[in-house]
Amino acid sequence: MRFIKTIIWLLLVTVPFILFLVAVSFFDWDFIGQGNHISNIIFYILDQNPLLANELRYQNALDVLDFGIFYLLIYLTIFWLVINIIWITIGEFLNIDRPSKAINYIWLWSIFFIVCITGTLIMNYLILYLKDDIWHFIDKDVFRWKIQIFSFFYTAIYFYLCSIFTTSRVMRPAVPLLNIILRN
Amino acid sequence: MNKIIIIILLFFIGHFQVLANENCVNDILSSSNKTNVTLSKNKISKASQAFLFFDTSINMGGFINPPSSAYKLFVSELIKKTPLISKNQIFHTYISTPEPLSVNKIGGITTKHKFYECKGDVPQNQCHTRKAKFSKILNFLNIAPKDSLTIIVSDLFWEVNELAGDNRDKVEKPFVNALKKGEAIGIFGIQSLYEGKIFGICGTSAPYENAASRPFFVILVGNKDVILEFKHIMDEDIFSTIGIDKVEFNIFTNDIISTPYYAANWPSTTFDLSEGISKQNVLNEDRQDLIEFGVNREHEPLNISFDLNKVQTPHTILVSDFYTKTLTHQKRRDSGSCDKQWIKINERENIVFFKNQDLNNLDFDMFNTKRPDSLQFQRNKEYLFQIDFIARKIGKVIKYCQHSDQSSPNYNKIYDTDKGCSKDKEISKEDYIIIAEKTPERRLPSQVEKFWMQKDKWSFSCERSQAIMDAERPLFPVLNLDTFGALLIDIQETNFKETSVSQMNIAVRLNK
Repeated sequence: MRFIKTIIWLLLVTVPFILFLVAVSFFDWDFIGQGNHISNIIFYILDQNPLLANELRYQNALDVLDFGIFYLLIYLTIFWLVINIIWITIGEFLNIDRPSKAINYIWLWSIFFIVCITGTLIMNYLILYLKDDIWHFIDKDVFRWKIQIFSFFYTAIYFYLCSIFTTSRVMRPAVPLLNIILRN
Repeated sequence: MNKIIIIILLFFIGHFQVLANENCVNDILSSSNKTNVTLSKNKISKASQAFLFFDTSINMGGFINPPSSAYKLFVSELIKKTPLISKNQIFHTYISTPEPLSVNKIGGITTKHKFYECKGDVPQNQCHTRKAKFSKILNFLNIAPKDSLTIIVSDLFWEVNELAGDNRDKVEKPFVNALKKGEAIGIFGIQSLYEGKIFGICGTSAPYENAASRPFFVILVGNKDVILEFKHIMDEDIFSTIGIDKVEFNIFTNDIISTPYYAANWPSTTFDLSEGISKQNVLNEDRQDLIEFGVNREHEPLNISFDLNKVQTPHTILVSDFYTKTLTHQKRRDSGSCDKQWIKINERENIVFFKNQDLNNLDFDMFNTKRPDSLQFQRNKEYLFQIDFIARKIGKVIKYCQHSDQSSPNYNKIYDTDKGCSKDKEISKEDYIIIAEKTPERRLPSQVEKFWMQKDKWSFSCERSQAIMDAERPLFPVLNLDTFGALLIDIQETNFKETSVSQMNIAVRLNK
């Protein structure tokens, strides 16, 4: 029962994080950026090289959405859920009966934290930057300095929030600063 | 059984996909068919009527004195062969006004001196002052019936003022009107033996008697194909006898491009397949209207060369100042509507670049990464390029150059040329003029090849007349023919509109 509650908490954190990305990528929100999602992709993500034909930019944006962001979001949803479920499951099997023992597993949480972030960044790279039909549409600098840095912080916040809501009480000391945050 | 049905279904789905793709390519390439339309024009081989005008001014008489002058040979042949290019012939002689000449008497043009004697009430001592009024005969062009052919035979011995001021219009306008009506102007210049006196050279009263050879001219105005047919007949029958080196011919027309290359109908020598570019089946179809290439990531430019003489109407002035317009389609999908499968990139001038023109040889390049303004294309995709090669001008484009080879004795010297600066530095016309004025010793002789009418062999001016007469040149040129030549070139240039020279369809796969 406690495991199901944890999974519900995990979904309650994951779904808004993914929905936000879906909304920004696929919905026409005229108060964001250039007025619609396609224009935003064209303006903020695609290569602005003036020697590339303008006529292709709209189609390039659609392809980035259909063959890039769409698959990336599916992957991220699955990957984030899986990595958190593994963290929760391992926490259950570590047989930790008091918090002083849990603090010894900060390294384990850190590994999950790093794997979650690097997995996200690598998948960004594979899907948005290496995949045949998309890599040449996206501006190199935008990819390096905007998409990857945003992904780093977004994933870090997501994983930490998941850790807050899904880590068992005895396991909380393994999550850095969590006890201090919850105590206040 | 189920497996067999699935395999059959897959086969048909695949087959329909190929058909759909092929139809899209057909749709895209159908816009190239405009070039074919120009090829399907019917050729006219005979004019409805031929109007022949023979200049019988006194200076023309010397052409019939030698026993076998080119004039006699040509005019005899002209009279005989005109029925091959016209249904009916009407002959005239003229000095100031045309006078009809019956067919029975036409043979006398090459044999009887009385044709070239003073007629009417002109006193004998004033006879030599009567020059043929060429501009008056040209008036006939304004009233000539449609589909007729006008042939004027003359030595073009101009009145001094006939090509200057308002009188220039009288010569120019009939030619301009002819071009605007879609007619062509053909002009033969033929060096002929001459025995006689030439009167009225630059106002001198004494005739010049030492000319052993003089040019005469045959001007034809009418349908381009008829004129070219006439040239062809004369080539076979008479010019080999007269000597090809003694004959010049040019045609002026607005129908400059006669046999453009189009679609994939290009000679194999057109492409210089450099490193990284190879022939490849891009669309996986057997198409005759496309040339297909694969271009690797590391590649040299694709060089495209062709010969203008193969596409222009023969004997016309070469077109110049080229650029290209390229309509591009990028393949994005294997299924769906054609505009989803192939994304259109509007016509651009920065895909195929004009590189060089050396007389009739043209060079263009494509996929040249060294050109900073070249449109870039995403790799790992297929493209259809419909390239239109366009000429903005006709006639020579003069380049001004400065020698840049430090080891050359001409280092830093300047020259003008119509063949491009090659490895030398190109400078602006303004800079060329400034350098030439300040340091005339730096200016090298012009390398611009003159039009034949402007060469010394054919033309002279009054300033040089005495020197020519003193030198007793056996070959006596024509006064101010260079001005007439310049006028014809000017008419051609002014009436020329930007025109498509040829069109090419290529399919390219830009490999990863």
